[in-house]
Amino acid sequence: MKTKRISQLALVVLLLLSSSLFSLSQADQDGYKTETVAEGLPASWAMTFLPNSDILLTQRAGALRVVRDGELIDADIAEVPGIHYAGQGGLLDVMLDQNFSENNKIYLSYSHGKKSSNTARLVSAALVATENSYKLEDFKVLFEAKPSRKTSHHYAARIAQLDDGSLLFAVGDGYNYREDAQTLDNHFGKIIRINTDGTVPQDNPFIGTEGAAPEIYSLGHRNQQGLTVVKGVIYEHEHGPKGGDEVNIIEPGKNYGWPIATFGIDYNGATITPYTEYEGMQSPLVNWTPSIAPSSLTEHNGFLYVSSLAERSIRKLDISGEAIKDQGKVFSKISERLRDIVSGPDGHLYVLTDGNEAKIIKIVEDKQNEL
Amino acid sequence: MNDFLKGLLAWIGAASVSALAASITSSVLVQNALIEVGAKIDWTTRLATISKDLVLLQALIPLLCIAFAIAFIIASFCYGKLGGSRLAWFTIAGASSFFVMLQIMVLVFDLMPFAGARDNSGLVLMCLCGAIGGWFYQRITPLSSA
Repeated sequence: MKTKRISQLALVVLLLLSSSLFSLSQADQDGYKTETVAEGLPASWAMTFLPNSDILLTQRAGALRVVRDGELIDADIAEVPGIHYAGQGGLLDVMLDQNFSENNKIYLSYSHGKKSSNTARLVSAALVATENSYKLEDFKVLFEAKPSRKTSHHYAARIAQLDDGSLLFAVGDGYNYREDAQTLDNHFGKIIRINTDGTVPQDNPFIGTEGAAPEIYSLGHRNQQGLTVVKGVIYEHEHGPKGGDEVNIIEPGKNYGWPIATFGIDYNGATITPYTEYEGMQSPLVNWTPSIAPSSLTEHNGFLYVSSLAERSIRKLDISGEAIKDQGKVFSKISERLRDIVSGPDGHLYVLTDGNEAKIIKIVEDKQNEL
Repeated sequence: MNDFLKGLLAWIGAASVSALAASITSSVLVQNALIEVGAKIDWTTRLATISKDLVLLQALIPLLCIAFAIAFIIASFCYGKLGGSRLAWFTIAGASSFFVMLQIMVLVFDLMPFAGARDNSGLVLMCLCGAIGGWFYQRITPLSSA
């Protein structure tokens, strides 16, 4: 009887061992593994690493939080005032100044105002360490998109910084105001460029153009939620409507077409424009039709990585040549709506999932099988 | 053809006529907005685009059938109780049901998903398309089926 039990137990142990060995070999074949760094993060939108590896995290309801050693610190760093939290709005992007170690300056973007009149804002503040966390000081509004809108969609709101220190800020078309992306007298559907004190650089492309908002750097955008600078080149991606998601290289004064030229159609199937390309306008370098809903991008080991919402994927883009080559989906074990992706200081990629129970997932690549 | 069948066909016909008018109007408005910001669209392309946009009928006809069903019952009741012009009751019912339908869309989506109705002038034109449906219905239906 006893011998029978022992042999049954041995069989169970053997099965468990073989199953875990099988899993291990699967992970090895994948060439990477994933680790959940933090979870239970409600409605989070963006994250960035501090030099000490703390993670700053924005939550759309208005709180700026810290994730330290895998734990979300209870206290908010700040409740940013005047946030319009509705639709796609709220506290959105966060970015460190390129000289953060000297000036402790961070930038935040958010939708500001009320439902009937709101807009996208870019602010700066000093992040000061406290005993257990941080606090914000010297809060300063650098830019507010004009005119205000009645919708709570398409803020874009990504922030990037050029090598000369000036800031780029993506302002979306506000959904109902798409044609305004083609005119220079407003900030809808534009990428704007300002100095870190909010003043306008005098070499902006439309300085001196009558009636043009001087902050405009490029026009003809829809909802640009990916913006990064790699070796002086500005990479941007934007959501198309139904189809027509784009990756572009942004150059000053260029028109990127929306809504006169797009590969997308309206959500109800109607035509937005008869044209997929138009003279004098930049065609996308990558076109995703059907849409993947790109939410963020980051440079990592010489490649661009794009997180997506609808496709629930990470895409890898080769930017080594003149053209941008979409190498397709990578890290396919991660199959959730992804809101943000960043390259961490430890050399690993980190993704932030979407939704009310968001997670930060670390992707650890096997160096021998680097993707 | 009995009154019920006639009423049924008039109801679906009214939704179809109204949807057709709205689809064409929306397509023209969207293209006009592009022309206003500098796009050149020749007449052949304009007509082809209007034709493509008839895809909107797939969504509009069922939605308008529901909206008109409610609105025409109310119009019929009001006409019966209060009297007045049957044409006026049904035309107003058609216009107001289109308006309410669009406002419900705004409440649900928190934005206007029907591009032709993004501004006030577009909204008024869409209500006129609804009014055409109401007019069509009262023209086709005999008094007894209204």
